[in-house]
This record gives sequence, C-alpha cells and structure tokens, in this order.
Amino acid sequence: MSSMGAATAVMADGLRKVYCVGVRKPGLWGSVRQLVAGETRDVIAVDGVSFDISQGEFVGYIGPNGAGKSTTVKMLTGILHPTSGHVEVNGLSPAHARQQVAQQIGVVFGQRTQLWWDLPTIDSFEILAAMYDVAPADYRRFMSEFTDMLGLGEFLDTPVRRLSLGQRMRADIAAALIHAPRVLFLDEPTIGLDVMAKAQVRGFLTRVNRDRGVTILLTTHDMRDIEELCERVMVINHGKLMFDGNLESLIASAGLPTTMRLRLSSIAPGLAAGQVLGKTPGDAPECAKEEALCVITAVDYSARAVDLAFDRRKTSAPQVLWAARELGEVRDVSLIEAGMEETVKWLLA
Amino acid sequence: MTSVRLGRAARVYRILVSASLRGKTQYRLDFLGSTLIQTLMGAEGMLFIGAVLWRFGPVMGWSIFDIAMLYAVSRMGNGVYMLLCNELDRFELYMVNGDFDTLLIRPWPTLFTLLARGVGIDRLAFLAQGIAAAALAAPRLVATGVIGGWDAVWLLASVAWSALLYFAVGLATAAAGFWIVRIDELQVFTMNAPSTATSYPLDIYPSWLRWVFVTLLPLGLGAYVPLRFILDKGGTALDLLWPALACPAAVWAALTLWKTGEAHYTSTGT
Repeated sequence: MSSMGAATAVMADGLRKVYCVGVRKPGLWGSVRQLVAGETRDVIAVDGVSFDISQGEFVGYIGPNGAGKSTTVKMLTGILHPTSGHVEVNGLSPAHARQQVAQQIGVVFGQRTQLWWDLPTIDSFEILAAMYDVAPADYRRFMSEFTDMLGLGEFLDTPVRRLSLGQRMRADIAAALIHAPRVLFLDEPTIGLDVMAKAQVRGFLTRVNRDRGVTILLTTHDMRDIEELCERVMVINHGKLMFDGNLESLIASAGLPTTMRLRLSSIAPGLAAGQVLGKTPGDAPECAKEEALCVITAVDYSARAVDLAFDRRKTSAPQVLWAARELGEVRDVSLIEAGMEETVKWLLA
Repeated sequence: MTSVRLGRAARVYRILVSASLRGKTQYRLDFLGSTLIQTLMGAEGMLFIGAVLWRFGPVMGWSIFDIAMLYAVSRMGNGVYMLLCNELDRFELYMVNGDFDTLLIRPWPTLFTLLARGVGIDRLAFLAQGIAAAALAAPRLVATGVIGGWDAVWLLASVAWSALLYFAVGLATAAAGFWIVRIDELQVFTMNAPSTATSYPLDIYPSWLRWVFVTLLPLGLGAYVPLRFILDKGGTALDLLWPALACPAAVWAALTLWKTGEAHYTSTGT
C-alpha cells in the first residue's frame, strides 16, 4: 500500500472497472444462441480515473446516466473491486480492508434505503449504533443533535416503509453519520425530492461539511446541488474523467457565450435570430475599438426584446451595446451568464 | 478474533436477529400462514413412505423405525440450517436487487450480517418434524436393541454433521450467485432434491447416485453414512469418522468460494 499525504482523504489512481456482459441478440432464437454460445463482451464502466480528495473537501461528481459515477463510488466504498488501479480511503484500500474502511465512512444511496424497512425509524438507528459500536453517550448526543438538525422527531416511531421520500432521505443521511465517519459518500441524495426537502438536505450537508469537517463526495444530476454545495467538481463521461477543478474554472473553460437581453423602445421589422452585429466602425468610442461581434439569438416582437450572444473573452459588454445601437433605443439591459447546466451539457456534448 | 470482538459479535447478532423477528411479525397473517405451510410441507413425504412400509414391510433391510430415525436426523440437520441460515435460501434476491451492497458497507463480515438478518423462525417446523420422527422411532429402536449406550451421542453428532453439510452446500450454492445471479433453479438441484432424497436410505438408489450424495452433493454423508453403521445396516466404525473429516473440509471450501465470489460481485445499476 502506498503512503498518502496526511491531508488526503480519498485517492484514486488509474481506477478502472470492466464488466463482462453477455451479448444479447434480438428475439427468442437470439436468446437461445446467447445461452448456448455464451458470447460476451467487455464493457468499460470506469476507465483510468485518478483524483485526490483532501480532508474536509466537498466534491461534486457529475456525469450523465451510465457515465461511471455510481461504479466509482462503489469501488471507493468497497462494494466493487476495481479491475485495475488503486483506491485508498483514509490510507486504507476498500478492496483489501473493507471492514476497517466501512467503520470510517458513511454511505447514502438515494435510490436504495439502508434502513430496516418494516421497523420504526428509531430502531434502525439503534441497530446501526450497535453495529458501529457507538458509545451510549455518543449515541444520545447524536440523537439529540440530529433530531433537531434534520427534524427527525416527527417520524422516529414511524416504520420506514411509511416515510415520505424526503423523510426517508433525512433518516438515511442521519443513519450514515451515526458513527461520526470522516468521509461521506452520497449517491444522488436529492433524487426525487421536492424543492423544500432538497433545500433542507443541502443545508444539512453544508453544516456537516463546514462544522464537522466531514469530507463529502456527492454524485447528483441536479446542478443546483453542485452550485450550492461543492467547491470542486469532477465530470465523468464514458468512464473517463473529463474535468476536475472548481466551478469558476469549469464555466470559464467551457467559454460559453453570455447573453445580453435588450429591451427596446421599438423593433425594426426584419430582425431575425442568426443575424450578426458589430463590425466596429472607425468612429467607435475607445471602449469599443476592438472588433465587436455578437449574434442575435432571439427576437420577441411583442415584448420588444432582443437576445444577443457574445463571447466575454473576446468582446466586452460596452462593445456589444455599441454594436447594438443600430437596433434602436435601448430601454433596459440585462446579462445572463451560462450556468452549470449549460456548461455541463456543453462539456458532455 | 479477540474475546471483545466475540462479545460484540454476539451482541450485534442478537440485535439483528431480534430486528428480523420483529420485522417478520409485522405481517402477522403472512407469518402464521408461512409457518403453517412449512409445517405441512415435508410431513406428507414421511407419511407416504410410512404407509408404503406399513403395507409392504422393510425395504432393503431398513424397517419403518430405522427410516424414521434417518429421516429424523436428516430433518433436524435441515431444520437447524433453515433456522440459522434462512437468508442463504433467499440469496437470489440480494443479487437480483443489489441488496448485497448494504451488507458490504457495514464493518462486519458479509456472511455474518446476512445470516443475522433473517432467522427462519417460520421454518421451525422442519426441526419439529425431525424431533417428532425421532420421538416416534427411538423407543422402538431401543426396545429392539438396535440402538443403546453411546449411540445417542453419535446420533446427535450426526445431526450436527448434517446441519454443517447443509450449510456448506447451501453456502456454495448461494456463492454461485456472485457469478450467475439467478440461483433458484440451482438450489432445487443442489439443496431441495438432495435434501428429500437423502432423508431416506441411499441403498434404494443406483450406486452412481449414492456416490453423488456422499461426495459432490454430500448431504447423505451427515446422516445416512453414520446411521448405516449405528443402525447395523452395514459399514464400519470408520463411517462415524468420515463426516468429522469431511464437514470441516466442505465448510472451508464453501467459505473460500464465498470469499472469492464476493470479489466478483457486480452489484446492480442505480
């Protein structure tokens, strides 16, 4: 086992997972052939992923369905063994020291509860406290704090099967933290939750990360989760890590156009999306001496509004305004920056 | 494993078993119905054989009471297995639904948490059937001098061997699920059919099938082989020793297969 820096909580080095799956042909005859011939092919779920996560970091791990997010999390938690490559969590290999790693991590799968389905919620906490050998005083403190923070009190005596999705998720997250793990893996913890429940879960995770210093790796399809919670984001697609950095650099690296929305006193007829504005004339003011280029992306005649897209790295907002003077008198201006959603779509396209 | 760890394991096992029982009793009608069905299942086989023997007399030297004792030992071994290892019987669900994930994220051996999650209290009927058959056969076998002295100890040892062999075969069959996922049909082949077949004297089967039941699917090794000697139906005193050698080997092989399979677990998509 290689040695790790003291500040590293999770390390993946050349992580790779290959599944061997049967090749299925359509129809009954195809199924019979597959059964007899046993033809298989390799599917690469994770392909040489490497990263380090420092203690106390809150990292978002995003990508489309089937990109390899859950497979990565399952290798980090010891559920799956890597085909090749190396993983360490708090200096231990989950594949070789699974039980020791399990004692130090918490895991939440948004689509699969880990609570005892038929028993009151409080029973699951008591069972898990025994499994993780939580001291009675620590358990009492945990229940007192988390009951308040997550509002568990209202459903502690309710069987898990009768909980709403939001209640169940809060209980699952609390259960994952009962043994005060140093690292928390969250696989789509906000999936299916309503706006209020999402906000509550996000607020709680922020506090867990900030106040307790718990390292968190979060997979999600909700970009609001990433924007509100994560200082760092990793993007995976087709099993390969496409990006690893902070949110600002992710958005900057995409270089997506900014949209300027103009509200005009009137719109000249014939204006249409796709029209390019802004070959800078010689009499342009100093701020617009460079060639300004922007393109009309939308025209709303009834609202007398025009959207212009431009590249902030090449063109400034005053330049665009100068170029847009030919459209008419501008009454109002607003700028719309590309968000995470658009950036990730662009990155994965 | 230190004594502290053993103490913790005992406490966790007790808590998990208690949770499993409370979970089952949440569905009272299902629990009672399942217990009733399990009680009726299996008993009809013994009743049929009893009726045949009553009408036609001993089969290949085995009287109705000899067969009842063999059935009792086999059934009790199966009953202990069903009581303690019920989840191995349901293991296909863990593979198909990916529920095995939840065992792998706990700081305990997966087999330990798996077995503790589902004690087969509704399958106590298997054990009860065995005890009833033994209670029926023992007085007559003692009265006719077929058994006596230390035989009771050897019979109890045979129950233990039988239970261990059920565990070994059940565990190996469940471990196959790590590769093939669906194991329900395999369980019929490796557990259900051999369990029924080895509850009766193996003398009635062709030699190759007898060989299968004491080697590849060795459920006959725990009950039939020692009882053949104890009930004076042939064999030698070594027949009491073979299970003592074979059972640990079979359990070790099954545990090794389980450990290897765990590393091949592929989980399910989310």
